[in-house]
Amino acid sequence: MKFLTWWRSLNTRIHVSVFMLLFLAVLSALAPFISPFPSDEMGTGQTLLGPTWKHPFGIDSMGRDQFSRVTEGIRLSAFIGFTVMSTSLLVGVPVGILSAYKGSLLDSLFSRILDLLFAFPNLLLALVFVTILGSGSWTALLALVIIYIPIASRFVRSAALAEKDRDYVSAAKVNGASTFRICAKHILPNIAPSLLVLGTNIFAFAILAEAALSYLGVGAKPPTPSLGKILTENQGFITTSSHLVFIPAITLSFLVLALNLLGDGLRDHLDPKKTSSRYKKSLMQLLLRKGTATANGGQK
Amino acid sequence: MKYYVLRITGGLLTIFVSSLLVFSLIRLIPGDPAAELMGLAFDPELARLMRIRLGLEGSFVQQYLAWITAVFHGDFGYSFINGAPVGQEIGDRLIRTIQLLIGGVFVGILISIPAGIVSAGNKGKWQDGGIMAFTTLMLSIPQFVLGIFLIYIFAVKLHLLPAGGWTDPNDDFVQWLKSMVLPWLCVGMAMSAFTSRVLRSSILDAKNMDYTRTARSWGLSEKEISRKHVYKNASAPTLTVIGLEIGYLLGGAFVIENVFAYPGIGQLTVKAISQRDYPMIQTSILIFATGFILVNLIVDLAYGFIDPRIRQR
Repeated sequence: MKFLTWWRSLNTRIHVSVFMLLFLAVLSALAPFISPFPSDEMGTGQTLLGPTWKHPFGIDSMGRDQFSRVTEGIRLSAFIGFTVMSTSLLVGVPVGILSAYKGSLLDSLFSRILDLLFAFPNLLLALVFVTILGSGSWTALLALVIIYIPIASRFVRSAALAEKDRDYVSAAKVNGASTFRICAKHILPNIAPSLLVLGTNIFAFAILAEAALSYLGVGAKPPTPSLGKILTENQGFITTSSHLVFIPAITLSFLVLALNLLGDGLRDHLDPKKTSSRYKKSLMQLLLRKGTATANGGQK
Repeated sequence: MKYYVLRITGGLLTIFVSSLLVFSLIRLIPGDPAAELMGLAFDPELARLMRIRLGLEGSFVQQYLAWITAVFHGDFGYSFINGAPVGQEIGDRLIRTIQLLIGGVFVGILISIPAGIVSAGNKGKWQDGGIMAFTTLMLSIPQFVLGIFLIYIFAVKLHLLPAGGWTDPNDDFVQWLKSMVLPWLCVGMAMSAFTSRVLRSSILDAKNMDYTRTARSWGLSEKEISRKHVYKNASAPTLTVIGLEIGYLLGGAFVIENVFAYPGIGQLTVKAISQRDYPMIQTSILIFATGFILVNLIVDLAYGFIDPRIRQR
């Protein structure tokens, strides 16, 4: 009963996105039962076969079951998105809050380093890391983590900056609370809603970035069925077997769309005061996506 | 004045530091590039000569100074793969990438300005809902997926346009234009999603401002209020976002050029990375970073020019 009331209080975008994500989760969880072929097993049937009952998404040019590959791709994307999100928040939140709260030397040192990182478009930065570390799924993941940690820290910092001069922080200080206590028990809960939105956005953009890297051939290596990789492999067959291209393409867009809707929905749900201007909201999203922020954290 | 000087110095400084970063890149790669290049035919004397040619001998500072002097003289070194001068190859491709970006940004502006104005003017009606749904969709579809869809519709099904490649406009102008349409559309559509959203939000913000209410109380017509007060104030943030988008598109160039087999600098970089062609990688990354910093600098300067309040800080 309580759950229902809470569920009704959420907006439509959250409802829709939760159903979309649930659908993908159930699909990829049940995949082994729907199609028993391993994603890298060749010769499961006639190559370039269209959708049939046995192979719902058809068979690719190397005789691999496309349904197993796409669902495995969803799991891989979700894993990468989740890892990048949790790691960048785990590092970014303490660094961001401390640098906002402590200010001074730590803060300016930190800002200068970030300015430098933001001097590169993030896909280029990922390519640079991949050049140094060698291509592959794990290096792509590592590159994304390295890129998103500073982005997360920068946003946490600007969120924490808005909180640190509030009365409740001064009150805690007067009460003799330690820096750790103020940061963890007072500032953190107050910026938690924006962290949720930030996390959803990072999740979505990390998936997009990984797909792009794999598409360019510097991410996942064959036979890893990353959605971007599946697209490169099948793009040559677009004239004859377009389903091999469209199904992974639509799946990837569907996944990112669900996450973007969730992010937008959460943002509206958690900011009922509508304090921030519309412009700032859309700008924040752009900066996140770009992986760049101007010197003053997009607060122009 | 102080604002402009600060920004320009900051920009130049960032270019300098990023050149240092790019330079360190080749030296961060584990192992000896010369040995790696020679493979089984390794010979210590030849390796030494190769390291000299790669600029890997001497102290870090000496190496950097030698390299940066050569760069200022337009000498970017030679490709590992075919021995061609890097500067020549990159120069040709840079022009094509600039063609792609300028046309694409133009298409993006052509889409986003009417879209933003219409959706803000009809807030909450079906036009607004439709445009917002379109932008949400555009934000979720990766650029390469969008490119593949465009190729499927216009090249595979309708046979109207080539699926990729590039024709020299001096040889065949019409064919060039045809080969540019899909890449431009892909860049433009991807860019319009954010730009039209920001334009819509800033128009709506400006409509709630006191100056708009004052203008209305003076009895100005809604048309005049829109033109003189709302749009003018909404243009500054939109311009910033367009600038930021151009920076973002520089990163997107890698993907778009690969989808359309477009012989630009992004495609070259990706190829060079998979071939481990270090002089090529080093130069193209330097060019991308410089371009990105310059675009951001121009945005900052333009913003200061449009909005005097920024200069005061």
